[in-house]
Amino acid sequence: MKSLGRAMKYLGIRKARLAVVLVLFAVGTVSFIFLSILLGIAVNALSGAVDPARLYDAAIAMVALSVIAFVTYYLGYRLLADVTQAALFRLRQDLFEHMQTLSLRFYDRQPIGELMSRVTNDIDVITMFYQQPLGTLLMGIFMLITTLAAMFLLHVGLAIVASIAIPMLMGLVWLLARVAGPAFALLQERLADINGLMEETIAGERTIIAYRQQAPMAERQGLVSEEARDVGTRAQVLSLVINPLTVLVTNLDVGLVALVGSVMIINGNLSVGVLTTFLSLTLLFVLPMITIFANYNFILSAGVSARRIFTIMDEQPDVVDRPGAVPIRPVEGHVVFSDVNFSYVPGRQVLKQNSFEAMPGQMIGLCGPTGAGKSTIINILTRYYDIDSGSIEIDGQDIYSVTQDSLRKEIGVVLQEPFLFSDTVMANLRYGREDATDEECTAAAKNANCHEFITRLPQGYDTVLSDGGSNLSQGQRQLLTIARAMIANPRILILDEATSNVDTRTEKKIQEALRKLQEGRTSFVIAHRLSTIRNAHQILVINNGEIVERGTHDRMMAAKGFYYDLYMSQFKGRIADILPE
Amino acid sequence: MPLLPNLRRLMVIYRGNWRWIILSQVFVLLGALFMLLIPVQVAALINNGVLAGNVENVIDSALSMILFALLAGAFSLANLYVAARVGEGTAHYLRKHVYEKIQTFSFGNLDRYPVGELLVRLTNDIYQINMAANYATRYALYAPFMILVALVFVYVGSPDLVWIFVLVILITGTLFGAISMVLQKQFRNRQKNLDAVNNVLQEDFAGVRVVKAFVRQDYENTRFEGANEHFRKASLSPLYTNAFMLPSIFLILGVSNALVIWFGGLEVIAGTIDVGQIIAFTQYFFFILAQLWILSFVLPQIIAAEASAGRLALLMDTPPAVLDVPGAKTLDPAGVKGKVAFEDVSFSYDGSGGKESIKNISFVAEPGQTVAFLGATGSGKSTIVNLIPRFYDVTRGRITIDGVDVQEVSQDSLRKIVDAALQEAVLFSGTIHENIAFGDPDLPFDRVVEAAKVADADSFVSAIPEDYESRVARRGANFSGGQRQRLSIARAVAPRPRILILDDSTSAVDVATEARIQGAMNTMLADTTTFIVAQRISTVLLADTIILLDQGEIVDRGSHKELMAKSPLYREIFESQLGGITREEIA
Repeated sequence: MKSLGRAMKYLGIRKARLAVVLVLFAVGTVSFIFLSILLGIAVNALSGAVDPARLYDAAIAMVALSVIAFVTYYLGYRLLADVTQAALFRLRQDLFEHMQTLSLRFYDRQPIGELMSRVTNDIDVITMFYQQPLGTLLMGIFMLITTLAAMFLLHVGLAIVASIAIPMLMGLVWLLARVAGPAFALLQERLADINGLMEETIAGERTIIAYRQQAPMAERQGLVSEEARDVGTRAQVLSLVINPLTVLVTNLDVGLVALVGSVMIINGNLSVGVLTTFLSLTLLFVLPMITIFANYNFILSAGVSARRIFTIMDEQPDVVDRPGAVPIRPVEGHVVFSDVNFSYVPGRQVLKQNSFEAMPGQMIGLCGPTGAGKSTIINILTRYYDIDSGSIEIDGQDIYSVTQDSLRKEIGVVLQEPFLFSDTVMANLRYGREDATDEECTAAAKNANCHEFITRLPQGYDTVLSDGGSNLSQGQRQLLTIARAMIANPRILILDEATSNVDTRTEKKIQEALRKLQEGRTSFVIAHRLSTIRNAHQILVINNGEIVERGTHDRMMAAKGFYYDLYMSQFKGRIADILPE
Repeated sequence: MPLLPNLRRLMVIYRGNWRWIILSQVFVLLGALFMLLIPVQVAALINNGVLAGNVENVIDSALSMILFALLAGAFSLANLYVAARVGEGTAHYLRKHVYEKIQTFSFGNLDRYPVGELLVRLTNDIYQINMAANYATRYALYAPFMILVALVFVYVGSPDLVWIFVLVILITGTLFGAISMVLQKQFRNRQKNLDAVNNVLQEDFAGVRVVKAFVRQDYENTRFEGANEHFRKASLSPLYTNAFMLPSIFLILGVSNALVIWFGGLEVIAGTIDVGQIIAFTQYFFFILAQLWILSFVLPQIIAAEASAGRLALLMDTPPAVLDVPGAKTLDPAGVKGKVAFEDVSFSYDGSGGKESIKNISFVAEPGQTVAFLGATGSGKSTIVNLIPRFYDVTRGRITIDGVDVQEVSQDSLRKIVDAALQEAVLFSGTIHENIAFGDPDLPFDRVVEAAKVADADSFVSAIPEDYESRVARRGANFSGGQRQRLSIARAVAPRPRILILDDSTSAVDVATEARIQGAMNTMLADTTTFIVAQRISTVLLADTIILLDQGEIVDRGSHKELMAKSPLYREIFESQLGGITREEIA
């Protein structure tokens, strides 16, 4: 509930409007209650001798009051919508902007789908709460107070009788909350089970087909679904039972008021009109309580969602600029790793005592078995993660003494999987550097062998890439990311070689573009195919997080060590048969 | 056109359960009747009790009111229980049948239905129908009945005043109907804008490395702000409409009460009706408006459910892309040698007449041979191997195993002979043991270990404390890509199939590991006919036949030696990936 309170604070960004909303609701409620009282007075008048003119006045007054109630409520709800939507806008924006500051460790912890559903679904639940129950709650509370006040003003004794419904309803809600709460928790659990099962098996449906497991899977799903049905029925009944029960309490209350009121009339302590008014007031005063309680589930789930949102908002980025960090001074690209230790998870070291030096303009190849830690180098040089100990220096500046942003501007990254945004080709190119001119972007595209295929696209550079570039081939996407890195014009490059095979012609274009990109820059190439790094100035062979061998291709081939073995394993021990004559 | 055709189609669900549903509607009517009798008693209480000064009548009426309230409550509780059961039962039935339907699908069907869409059918659409069934059981009869009976009561009491009620019902009905139509449109627009917000989120999370690498957080914030602002505006319009709806009830209530007071009052003065009836009238207004209010929620829910039912119907009517022919043959795994022949096979993902992904493919794989496919992305490698176990059926030509056309064989018996490690190494939640024995849950444990050893997975599995009983998270998320691939290979080789397909299944495994796996497989599965799809040339070097593909056609074939001698394209690939080493260097 504390989190829900925090979410409510966002409503405060439109304080003045919120105050107007409250005033409007108050006016509306008072006129509506007055309307009911007027009805009673009119009926009361009817029991005696009636002047049709007064009847007419009463009818006109009732119409006037209902128009006032309508207008004030309408304006109140409209303004409330403005307030809540402004609050939700701010909440979403704050959450998004906060997530932008979080480190990769945060993103590693949960799959994107989960993160997405947490952000969108949870915000949605808060939205639901703001939109429906909040207005009704406000109105309900006003109505409850006004009705009670009116009742006590009219007749204290009968008001006390009518108020009996309050403890009755509260007891009922307390009881139901104790039973329905756990039932709902169980339902959520079962729904998570069934949805998880369906998501997993449908995503893996092709494998299920290949292994003929359709029937066993359907059977399993049927069982889990049946459980969800049984738990769901229980939860539904328990959550809905509040409605007929509150109606029952209302009717009993009306009956009681009628009984006691009638006796009072007969004893001469009450007039018929006051009783009629009381009867309609009793309905009016139970009504808001029903709406308040009907929204009980909303309030509960909004509380849960608010807690999840604020858990993310309170998450601290684990990579932060050190106090006194300064922008990095212009660099040549001299990179030195000294005794670097690193682990993603404490206790499971990924890099051990890594030391090496890259001179400006050099190409450094990284190779080794899968999972040996070669890709980790990208993550720590760009400070996606912080190292455990040791130091990394660029041109003599410790990367921990400079700001992350300035550091990352010096380092370009071309990832294994080319990632593009659903935006125009030009916008994607300019992603490398915001102030790049169109001419610079086109020049880079030409340099990276992209210009030709871009101009063949329907709108050329203004073509919007749908769905992250699914309208381009894998090779073309790769070329675009190379052009993007050229525009960024960093001194240091990290190239994570693509594993997938594009056709030999595109492959040549990519190699050529990469060669141009590497010219005059210090580059780290993570190789999945050893042929890519044959010409590196230095190759680091990494196994189990340690640099086990280093040197040029020729030297290490001659040394017949780890690198040689790795290289020869490509030939499956049959090199003599495989090499051309 | 019949009303709600898709929901009506669902009525078969309730076959055999009609008694319960009818009984629930009897409960509904009885509950409504007692609810309506309460104002009658209020009128009686005032007229015969209070005004007549008769205490006995007062107590009688009040007690009747309480009794009727209890009865109405009991009946609506009973109905509620049935409603919840009907809704949840419907959801369960649909979940089960739609899921079973999906289980009959083949790869071709799955290509057309993205996973996300199928899940929305199974969750969201079914939820809509669940709610509609629930609401319908509770209100479909209740609300109209309440309105009708209230009208009858008013008519009996004072026929002259009925017109006020009819007028109010007509105005309110029209108003709510019009508003809910506007709302639907506004909600659709809101949803569209929400999708746009989600797209930015999705893209930003997926590309977090790129965003950080180019230091473009500010840009992303602005981009998100744009989508966020559009969404805020789109959210406002349905809220403004709603802001109109609830207060309009107050207006209607106030004005109609004024009408009753004015016209009813005149009648009281004239002596045609009494005051008690006026009081009862005002209470009927509450009832009727409450019912109309409820209907304004129920009707859109039923309309939404009809749309959902339509989408489900479309899914249920989709025929499986691959079907067993009547009287399909069963192959005996023990008798199969494993000779696979492609005879002039062409295939199009769009059916005959569509663009062909592979054209006129012919080759023969002798029992025990290894055939590898090499070519660029999109050259048709995976397409070819997917035709063997009939993940897709050929568009033209035929594929035979030991001379038998695979189309004449039942899918089930065919896939007992052909095992495949698919491109995407999907694992399921459960244990490692269960995952390796996925194709045959009764596989002896030593065979599971044997398979893991062949796939070079035993070493990392043994390193986990729980060994083969370690938990695998959903979709194998707790294993790396390379580990998942090795477990997927273990799963494929465990049943010792006659024919094995490895579709790019070692792409995330380093060359040294791959060499070990291939060596072990040659020993264990010496008699198995193996098909390999590969990206790396080193994967295919030792195959008996390497088939070189380009845009769906075979450009060359032969062993590595033969291709080196005759195919310039093959030599080019070899040079780019493995070249630069000479015989002198290794001598």
